Amino acid sequence: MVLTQLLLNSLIIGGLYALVAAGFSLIYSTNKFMHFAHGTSVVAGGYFLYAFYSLNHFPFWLAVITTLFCTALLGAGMYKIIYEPLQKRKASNVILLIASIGILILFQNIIQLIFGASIQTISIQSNTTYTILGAAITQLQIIIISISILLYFILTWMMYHTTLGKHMRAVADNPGLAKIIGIDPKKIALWSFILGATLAGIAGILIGLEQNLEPSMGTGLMIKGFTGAVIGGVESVGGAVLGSYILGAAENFGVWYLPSGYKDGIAFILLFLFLLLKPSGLFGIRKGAKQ
Amino acid sequence: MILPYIIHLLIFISIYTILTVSLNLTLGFTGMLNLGHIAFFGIGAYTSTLLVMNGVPYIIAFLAAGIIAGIFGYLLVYAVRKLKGDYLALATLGFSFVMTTLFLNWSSLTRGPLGIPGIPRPEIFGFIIKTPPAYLLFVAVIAIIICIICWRITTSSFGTLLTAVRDDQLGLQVLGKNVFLLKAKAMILSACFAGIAGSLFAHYLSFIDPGSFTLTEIILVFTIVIVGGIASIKGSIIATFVIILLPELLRFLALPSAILGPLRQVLYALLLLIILLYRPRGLYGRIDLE
Amino acid sequence: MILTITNLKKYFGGIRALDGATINVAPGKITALIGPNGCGKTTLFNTLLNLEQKDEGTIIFNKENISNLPTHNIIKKGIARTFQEVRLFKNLSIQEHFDIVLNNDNEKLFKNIFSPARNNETTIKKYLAQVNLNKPLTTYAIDLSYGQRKLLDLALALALPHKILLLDEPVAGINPELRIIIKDILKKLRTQGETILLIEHDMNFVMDLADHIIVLDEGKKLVEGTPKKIQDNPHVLEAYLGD
Repeated sequence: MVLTQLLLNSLIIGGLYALVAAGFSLIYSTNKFMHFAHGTSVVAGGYFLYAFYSLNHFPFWLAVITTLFCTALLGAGMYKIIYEPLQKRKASNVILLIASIGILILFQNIIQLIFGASIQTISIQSNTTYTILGAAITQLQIIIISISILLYFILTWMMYHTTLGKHMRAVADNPGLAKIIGIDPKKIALWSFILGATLAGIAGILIGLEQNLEPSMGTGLMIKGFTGAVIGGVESVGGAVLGSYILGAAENFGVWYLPSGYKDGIAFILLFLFLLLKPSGLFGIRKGAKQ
Repeated sequence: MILPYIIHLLIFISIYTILTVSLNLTLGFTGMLNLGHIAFFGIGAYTSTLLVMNGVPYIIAFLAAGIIAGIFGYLLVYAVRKLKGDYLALATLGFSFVMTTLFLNWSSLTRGPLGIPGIPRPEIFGFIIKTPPAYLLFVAVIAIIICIICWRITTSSFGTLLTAVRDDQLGLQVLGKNVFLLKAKAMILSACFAGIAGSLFAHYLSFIDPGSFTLTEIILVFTIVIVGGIASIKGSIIATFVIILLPELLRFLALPSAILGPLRQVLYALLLLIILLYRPRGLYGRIDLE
Repeated sequence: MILTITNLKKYFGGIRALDGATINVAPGKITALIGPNGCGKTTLFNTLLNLEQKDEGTIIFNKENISNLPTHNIIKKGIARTFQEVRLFKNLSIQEHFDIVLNNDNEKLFKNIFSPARNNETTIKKYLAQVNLNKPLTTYAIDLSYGQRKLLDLALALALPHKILLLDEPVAGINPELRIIIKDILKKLRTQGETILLIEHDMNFVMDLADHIIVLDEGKKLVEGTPKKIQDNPHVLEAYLGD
């Protein structure tokens, strides 16, 4: 049935966006600046998997672990080489944002130089299609939805019940105070990037398996993930995930009324509207537009 | 053999100089982070193209490109008037993306991703500016005029007000000045010039498509402005020359074009990051980007 | 009364920064607004000028209701204000600061493209002399010391066409010698007929200078009167020490 299919598609694409948004929002809430290059971490994740699994024939699970490791390293590198030095020079959020767009373009093109501009596919073994309530869904898609929901719970639990999570929230709330009570904000920042990049890696792997890989997809994914995060509330990982599902639904139900080419446009328009009218998101705390 | 190539580069440099100097007006002098600048470029390009290809004389199309872009400039500055910092930047970026979506999807108007080919050269009072050297003269004169106007503005009392807006909006309001109106004027003028640059671009290349107005172009223009130095018109002009000419040296390495494109982007991105890390004032800026 | 504020209310979430404050300021006198920290003094200035949105209240200045005007229009009606944390433009010189204030046409874009910048040197020097600030006009605001910046702030307020001066802690963080100089400047302004409403914490400064004192506590007026009357009032001490 059409409605169920649309609903299912919303969950699937919402799940993909949520994976991107979760990592981004984790990094934003800890560091308070927009790491736009997160999209590149996601794409890099996909291409790492392609390189290890499709090109070098690692066993799948080894390829996944190596991919996650490399993506985490990439994220840590971005922080250590670019952001930390800029922050030392008291760079404003605006400079960090521009730098992050620079990093995005840099890696997007490095990926293109290494792998070429044409579309790559990662093929895995059988991917059975199931039918639920008259709508089709593949095994992989079920995994995508499950992982994104699982991550939501794991991340929320982590933020409130582990030391790292508590330290991250402390730094997010008040870095000066956190420093005084013995938490090193730079170490926490590094961990937030490692964790965020790992999430990006997971997103990249799943997106790479579900869709095709293309060097420029990082920008699009980042915008979608960012829009989801803004809709839900950039500062909370949970909000980002929920917002992403809402975006997924908006896109799928939206193209019922609009010509299909406008699918991407729905995200842009929603992003613009939310930034203008409700920048703290539907579920976010009142950060406000003024700084 | 080399002369047509140099003329081609100079035409591009002239068009981009208009873009960077006008961006510096809002970014550098007024402190408004406008990541939507390229959208005005695109709006001007499409406006001029569609008008001329429907029989409107070039002069009118040229002016319309500026005026329509200016109107969008006002709409943008009004829409984002309550935003600051990175939220402002992202909202303007969002505006850019919305425009790109319109260019891509309003196919009945813009022919979508296919773009619009066969854009004619400008015809002014019966005289067609056809050859590249003639076109170069045309754009160079316009670029020089625009640079002079921007220079006059920034060195005048009005320019002092713009600097004050950048340094402390609240402080300026308390001195009795209408800060929103000042920002609006700067943005409208900046958008206007970008629109004019768009018209010059379209009628030179004779083909435009939505792919000419993306994040890549935004970063290029931003890189030039930052490298040249915030609030320095001279810096923007010199940096435009340097940054557009430098990657052309790569051509002499005889690399395949599939490599050349992304390599050029890598260089731009690296340049931006290096400048931000080691010399945020750029070449001639007196002021730090904030 | 040149300035009448009636029932001014401003809430920040659950906090009542201003809770029905009613103030009257007489022309030609120096009125001081005092009160314990957090009693709403700066908020009063901010909401009066519409820098912050008030929740309730009417403001009549010079017989005109300015309650809902945008900030720059309120200023143009003749209210000049200084800030406690001195707001100057770090990339502009002293001359450029005055150019902003003295040049009435500077907001017009087209006029300015074609006309040269005005030279107001003599006028600027007059205002600088009034506040005892002897620095070259080309000095940048950031190169001035804190005390000099406070003086420049005051000079700019004087140069702005005004009927009242709102001074927010004009001697905060100032050394004793400069404090006396500023007090003398303000006394001289009073003899010239200026109306001043100031916020200040330094009691000695206020008692020796003000004609009239208004004490705010918890967002509204506690008591008002001459310095002697305020000094003798037990409730004022209570308000400062808390209960």
